[in-house]
Amino acid sequence: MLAVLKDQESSTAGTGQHAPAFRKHSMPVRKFEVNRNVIMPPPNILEGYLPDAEMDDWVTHWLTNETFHNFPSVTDPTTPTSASKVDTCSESERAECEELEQLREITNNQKKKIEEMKHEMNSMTVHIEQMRTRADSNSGADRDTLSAQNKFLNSEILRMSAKCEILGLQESRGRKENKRLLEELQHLRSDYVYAIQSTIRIPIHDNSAMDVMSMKLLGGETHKSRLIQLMSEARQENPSLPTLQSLLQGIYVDSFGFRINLKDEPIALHYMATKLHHFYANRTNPANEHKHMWKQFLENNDYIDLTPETKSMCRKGIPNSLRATVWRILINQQVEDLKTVYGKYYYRNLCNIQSGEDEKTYSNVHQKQINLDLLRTMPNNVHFMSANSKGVTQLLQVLHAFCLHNPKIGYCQGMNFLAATALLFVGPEDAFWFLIAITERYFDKTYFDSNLTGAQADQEVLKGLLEVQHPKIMKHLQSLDIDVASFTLNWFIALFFDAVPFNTLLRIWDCFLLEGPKVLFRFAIVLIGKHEEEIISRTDAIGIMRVSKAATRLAFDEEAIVQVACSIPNLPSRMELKNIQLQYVNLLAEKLEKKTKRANEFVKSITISETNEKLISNIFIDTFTPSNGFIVSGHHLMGKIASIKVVKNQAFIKDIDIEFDCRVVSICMVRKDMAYVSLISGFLIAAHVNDNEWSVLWELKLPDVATFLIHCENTLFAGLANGILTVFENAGDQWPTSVQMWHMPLSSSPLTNAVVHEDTLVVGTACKLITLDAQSLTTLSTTHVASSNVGSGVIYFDKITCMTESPFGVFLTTDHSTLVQLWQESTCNLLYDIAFDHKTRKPSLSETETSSYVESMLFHDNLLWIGTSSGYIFIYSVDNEKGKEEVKYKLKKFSGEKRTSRSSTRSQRLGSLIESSDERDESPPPYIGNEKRASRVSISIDRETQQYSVATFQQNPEDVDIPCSTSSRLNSISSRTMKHPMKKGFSADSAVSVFSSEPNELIEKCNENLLLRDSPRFRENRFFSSTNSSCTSMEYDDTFELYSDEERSRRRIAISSHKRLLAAPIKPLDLHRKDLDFDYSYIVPVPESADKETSNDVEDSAVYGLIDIISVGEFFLFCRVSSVSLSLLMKLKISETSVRKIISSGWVRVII
Amino acid sequence: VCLDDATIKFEIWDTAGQERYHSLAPMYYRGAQAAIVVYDITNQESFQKAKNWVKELQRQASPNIVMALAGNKADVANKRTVEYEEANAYAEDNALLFMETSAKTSMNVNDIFMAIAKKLPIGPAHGEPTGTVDMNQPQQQQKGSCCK
Repeated sequence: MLAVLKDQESSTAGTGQHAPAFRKHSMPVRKFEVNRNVIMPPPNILEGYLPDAEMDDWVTHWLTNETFHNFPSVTDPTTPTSASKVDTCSESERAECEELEQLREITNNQKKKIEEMKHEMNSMTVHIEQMRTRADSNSGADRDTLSAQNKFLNSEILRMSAKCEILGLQESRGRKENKRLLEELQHLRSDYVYAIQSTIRIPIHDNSAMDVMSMKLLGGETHKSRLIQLMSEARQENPSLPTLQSLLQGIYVDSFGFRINLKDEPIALHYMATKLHHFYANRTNPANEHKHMWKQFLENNDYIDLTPETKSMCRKGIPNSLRATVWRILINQQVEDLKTVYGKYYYRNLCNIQSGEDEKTYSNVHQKQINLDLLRTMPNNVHFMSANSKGVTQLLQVLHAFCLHNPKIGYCQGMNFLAATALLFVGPEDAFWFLIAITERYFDKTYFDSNLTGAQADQEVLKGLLEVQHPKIMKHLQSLDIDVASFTLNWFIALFFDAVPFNTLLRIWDCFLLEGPKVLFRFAIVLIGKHEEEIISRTDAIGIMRVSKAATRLAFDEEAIVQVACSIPNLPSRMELKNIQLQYVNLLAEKLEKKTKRANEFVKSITISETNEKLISNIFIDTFTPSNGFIVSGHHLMGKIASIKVVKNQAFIKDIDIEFDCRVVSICMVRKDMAYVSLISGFLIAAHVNDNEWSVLWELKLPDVATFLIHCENTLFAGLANGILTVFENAGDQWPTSVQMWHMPLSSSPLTNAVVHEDTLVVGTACKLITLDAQSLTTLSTTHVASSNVGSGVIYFDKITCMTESPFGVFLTTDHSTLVQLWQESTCNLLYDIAFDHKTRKPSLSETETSSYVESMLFHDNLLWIGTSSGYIFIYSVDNEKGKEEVKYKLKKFSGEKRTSRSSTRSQRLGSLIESSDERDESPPPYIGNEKRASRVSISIDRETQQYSVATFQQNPEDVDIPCSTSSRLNSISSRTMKHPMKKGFSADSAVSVFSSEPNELIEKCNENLLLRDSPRFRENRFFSSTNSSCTSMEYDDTFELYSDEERSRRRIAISSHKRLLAAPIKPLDLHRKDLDFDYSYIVPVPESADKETSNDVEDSAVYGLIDIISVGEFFLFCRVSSVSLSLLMKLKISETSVRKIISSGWVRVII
Repeated sequence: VCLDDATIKFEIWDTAGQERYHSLAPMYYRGAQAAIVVYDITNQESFQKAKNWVKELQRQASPNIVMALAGNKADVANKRTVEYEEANAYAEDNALLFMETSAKTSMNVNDIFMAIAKKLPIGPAHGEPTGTVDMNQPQQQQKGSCCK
């Protein structure tokens, strides 16, 4: 029984194992089957085995009776067949036969009985069975054993089935657990790689460069081996994933074509982690569902509206496999209308354009830049690596087509990145339309215009938003004077290209393509806000730049970024943003317009000579007739000279009947009756002066504008703006038969000032003084009066603003400085800061005036007059005894020992050459490579024939014909044009030639320009050149205007003060003033109606002009001040504007 | 760059060099402690532009900016159109550091940074400059900057 049970048990377990699915439900059925099996199987087994207890008893009884009869015929009952009966008969005795017969009968009866009993038993079994089927408990008490057995079996079975059930449950639970663990493992893996990914840092505090990322993984090789293992597992599914080796060797190319070359192992590991993270993320259910959703969406829609649904779909990211499709749809739906306008084949048409106006613009303006940028767009992408790469060819095609499509915007750096990124996903045609969508749909046309107005406006908008979102950061940045735009502008122009990791970039683009520019603000805010603490903890500009750059470069966590970006509260709506942006665009455009207007008006005022205000720009005093001076007035189109005669307490101005076509720069009298005038057009004019009658003797075009004219013993020195000192000998000759000019290159900067000091000529240029022997013109010394010495507090790039000669040496001051320097030879004898009164130990200037600086000075009669930019005049007396100087420095660092005296070697004076008055005389001297060496030009003039000849002695052998060329007035122009091709390195633009310092050009100018000034034709010619020169200077002014608001405001002050002075010019000064009698027609202030900002130059002159005149009257008072040793005698505020010039004449006339 | 016992860090910015980005340049060089104005010795025009940059920086940049002039492409000196003397004289007049460099052969590249480093004031420990590089311009304009 036990064995059977055991069998049953194992078989149950076995069936259970094989058919687990059925197990649960079939269990009760099986129970009965099992029951029946137990009872039924012994059909050949004796009934005694039957479980019923009643039956059992009966059977036992019967068996005991039977034993007697049965024993002899043991075999009989077993084989109750006829055959066996026959056998028994034959073998036994006849007597016994009858007995046997009887026995047989009995047996048979018994057998019958048994048979009956069997039947009965069967029926009982059936009965039992029936009972059993009804219920186990129904078993009668008489069948105790059976029922006990049955019960046992049943309970056993129940136990088993319960066990089975538990096992099954356990198993399913195990499976679930297993699944969960697998999932968790996956999660952990994903989180693990994510954690590894997040360990990357840009070390901001140490010495490495700003964008070098570094990663430190603790735990030795653990992470490395783990990552390698994970990667090799993942690679079984996706072989396109990188291995560590492939990354380190730089042979791995990612799915976008970027060749990844990571020298640093931790960085390579980080990259692997990033890759794995994406790999895992893409296998998750949500990712698959998301992808499925996109697929379904695309099946049902061919147009992607901006709905909350599509929005969230795009924000979750477009699956990589669908990105190309979706982008194409998004791009095309933006430009759908344009496509219908331009036609289906617009792009191909543009690609095939060979000529035309736009093509010309392209090749002139954009081609060079595009070609430069092609290969540096995505140098690490296999599609853009070489000039032959498909991507590069397509990129060129796209950018070219775009330039043709929109020549107004043309190519703007940044578009290359946009187009290239688009090309990674869509074809060239779609990339082209993408650029159009960017410039005409997503952004407006101002975005990429010549000033990036739109993009700049967006930076202002962003700043506004940041003020709200991250006020701390903005406050911090403002306190450090850091412009957020310095790093955010590129984010907007190139849509975050190269700022964030590529995958993050794609996510941003996914959102941008659907939602438009607003998302850019969102992401910008997130990227800046992400590192708020770090930004605030830094107090240096570099640190902040680094943090902000690092913040973007480390933005690997695109999911979080997108999520945060899309849930920024309190953002203005799209429309509001647009409106704000528009306001800024208008503001910027207005500014720009003003600028261009100013520039245009300036140009216009040059070309239209109707604006005829004559403005005083300078004043010169004649050394020969001490009480006489000249006031120079005019503007860029006209120059006038008036003489001013100062008679005690009065000044008279008289018109001189001479007018030039441009501003007069400098005047110098070389004799009582002869003056030289230099014009801004570069002409030098010699004029005969007879009281107020001037007549032009001759004129000459110099290589550049002479910024000063100074004479010394019949020699005239002209310092040119290109650094050449031109020396005229015998300058006093009124009717020279030949003019000898020496061009001595002293410097590359303009020569700005010069004084004659004892026997030397001291020339100031940029930040150095060059001392020349006035006779031999050899350079005696070159002294740097300001230098870029470290930490000395000296402002670098100082330029000498004014100089004055005294017996003690040369006083000078430099740009924007209050420091007066006294130099003798190459020693600085005195440094005196006028901002500080050394006698009273108190600052001479009040707090508000600290920005003022020395503008002009004059040494006269032991008094040093200093005019400042704020309108003060300081008068110092200078002690004759050198030892008593209050502040005396010997500044070795200024002695210029570091700098070899280059000038002395470079500018040798050539031996004097005798100039014949005829043509073709001298052969050119041997060619010397240095173009900047001294050259000599001789001009011979034949007064009667109005012909002149020019000879120059300099290097270029190719100019052989030039030195000796003779030309009449009439053919000089043609000679000029003919010679243009010979200028190498210069464009044919005449503006350049005006400023050119090349000697070979110089001759041409002499050729063409030495002529009498009354010829209308040549006036025009000269006018042209002067215009050009003005333009050039305007360019600088314009640049200046662009950046210096401070300067402008100063000028506005000038204007206002000028107005006030008009009303009550003298009263505020409370000085005695005699009425001045001068001809107002020559001192015309800026008319009130005129645009104040037309030309600042003009205004300045106007104001100065007015003050010049007013001051003439005032300063008679000053001359009576007696000298006090080295102390401030007087400080006078004479105007709001700067004191530009102080000049003395006779017994001290100081004019400001 | 290591100089004696001080380490000077150069932060070099890469900005667009196209003309339309010019008006934004002050934003980048504002506060820079050093600037390298680079021209192409084979291109006279670039030298002129470099001069304009120098002027602009003199006017607009921080007053004690250290400026260097670099004549690049010294490796193709046979095609030169800007003479060494000319540029050197100009640099001297404007108190600029001057070197002819070659980015290709890296001739003088380190030297010019070194020279700038030497000229920089040994400022406070947190000297903080900014700098830019116009990589996208033939005559590039770089403003390196450094801090101790």
